[in-house]
Amino acid sequence: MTTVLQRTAPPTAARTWWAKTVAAARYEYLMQVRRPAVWLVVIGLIALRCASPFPPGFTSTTDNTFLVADWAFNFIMLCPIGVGAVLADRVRREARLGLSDLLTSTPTGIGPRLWGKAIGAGAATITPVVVAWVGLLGYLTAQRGAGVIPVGLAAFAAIILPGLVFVVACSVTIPYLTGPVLYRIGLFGYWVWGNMVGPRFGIPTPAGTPFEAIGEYPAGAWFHGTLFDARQRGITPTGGEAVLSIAFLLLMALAALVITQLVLTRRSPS
Amino acid sequence: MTAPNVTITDLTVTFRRGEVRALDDISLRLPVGMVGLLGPNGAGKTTFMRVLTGVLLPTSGTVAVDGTDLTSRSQRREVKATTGYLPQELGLYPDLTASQFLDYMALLKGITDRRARLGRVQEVLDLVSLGDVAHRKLKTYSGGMKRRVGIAQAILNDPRLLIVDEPTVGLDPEERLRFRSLLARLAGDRTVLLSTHIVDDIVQTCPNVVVIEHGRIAFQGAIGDLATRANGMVWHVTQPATAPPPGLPTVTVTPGMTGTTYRVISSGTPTPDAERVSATVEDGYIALMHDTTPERTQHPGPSLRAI
Repeated sequence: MTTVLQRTAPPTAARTWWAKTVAAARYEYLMQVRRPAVWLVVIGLIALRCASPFPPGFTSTTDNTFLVADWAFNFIMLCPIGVGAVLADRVRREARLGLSDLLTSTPTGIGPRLWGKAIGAGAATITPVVVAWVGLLGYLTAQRGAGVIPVGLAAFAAIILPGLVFVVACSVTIPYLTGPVLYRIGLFGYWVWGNMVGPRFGIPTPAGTPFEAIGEYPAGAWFHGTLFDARQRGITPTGGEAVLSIAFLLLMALAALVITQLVLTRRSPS
Repeated sequence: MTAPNVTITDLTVTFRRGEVRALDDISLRLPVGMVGLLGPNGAGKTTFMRVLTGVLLPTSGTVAVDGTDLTSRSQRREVKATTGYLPQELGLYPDLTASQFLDYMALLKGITDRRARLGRVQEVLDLVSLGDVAHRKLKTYSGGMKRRVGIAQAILNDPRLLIVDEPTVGLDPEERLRFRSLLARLAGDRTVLLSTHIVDDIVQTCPNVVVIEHGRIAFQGAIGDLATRANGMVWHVTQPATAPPPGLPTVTVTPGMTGTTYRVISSGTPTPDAERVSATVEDGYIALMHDTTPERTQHPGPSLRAI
């Protein structure tokens, strides 16, 4: 400690909301993607589901679109539970680490930190899904040619991603209310009830409607994927219903984040 | 850069719906340079500092920095941009390196220009002698190194008001000396509010001191004035080692060949063979805490004015 602080010019663009959000996202991504639990849980759930792909026999089809859609369905069936589980404990992490006062004392409000966490930690948690999907596409490309790649990317964007975005948004907001443990239990219950318990069980459920989160509508409407609960409801999804299904998930995600930001801003002295 | 004019008026903070008064009608103006903040556990020091950093909103009263009201939501960020804070419970992201953590904090403090930020991070790392280990993860740092990262983040935005809460807790003696020397050098033309239990840290660095007790200002003024409050009331009492200690406020206990010597505060002669000694700041503080001084009025120092 031999030098004395040299004064610098005043901070530039002091209130650049977007720059702060990107910064928060960048560091949240770095911290989350390095966690072994993220990779173990998410890849583990994908492997568990894909070890015996469902429905039986779809991998022998010659239709690449159908093939990719059903693989996407296998990906999205269980891994969002893992994504939510490993994200839930990020919500109160700053309080647990004793960083709350330090962060609140900065001139940055709760907004950039919340959105940064959602974007950064969310992207980090989805990274293993992307890596596994890219690996699968590589395998399928080696077997069937490069024609699989564009349809594979489209299937990821339309079938897998909206549900993951929805789960990410819920997982960085709802645990503020419930805590991570209760949230994980609730997420598991919701995911099974809302996406797998179809009308055949006789209980009200969004499964088989455009409001489910496993991408059955986009898969059915655009990729000729196998229908499960929607077929039990006697529905063959249209393109419009597929758009509605995606829009619903993204709007719910947006609503969860905006409402949480408003509530936290009201509570916080930032 | 000039030092800020920090004016606190009728500041009150209550918890549990008014049942607990953490701060009770505090008014003072902070002078330039190092200001020590003393007080027993639970006196309200940390609450006071959390209000000054905008982390906690007061129940009533105002805190103005150069006329900008810290209690107003719209103006608070303006004040925060020129304030640095090292909290008592310092948390860090264990998986980030020191330079990554400081880069993140610099962005949150509004230093968005990349070149300026990187230069600034390197500058503060060098200042706290962590330049060589800047790329090690924070979870591998010792307690002293973490405190230095804490002070580094506090000065990233070149704050005019620097607030440090118990910065030397857990540091070894050499590290403690380095730390308080760094704080003293940083003071310059800014205001540094240093809260600590270690009276010696304040004696060595702070020309002015504020003492808080039960959420109220028990003393504010020059450090020397705190010592004079115990003038004529400090005694050395030597008793056999087996004898019970005197029932008086005791500053130090020194075992010796002839018995145990107690340094006590007493307005009268405690024992016939007691020896009167000159008062120190610590004596003045103990006298104040035990209400041994005749009166409890505020003693404004030359640059510390009561409002």
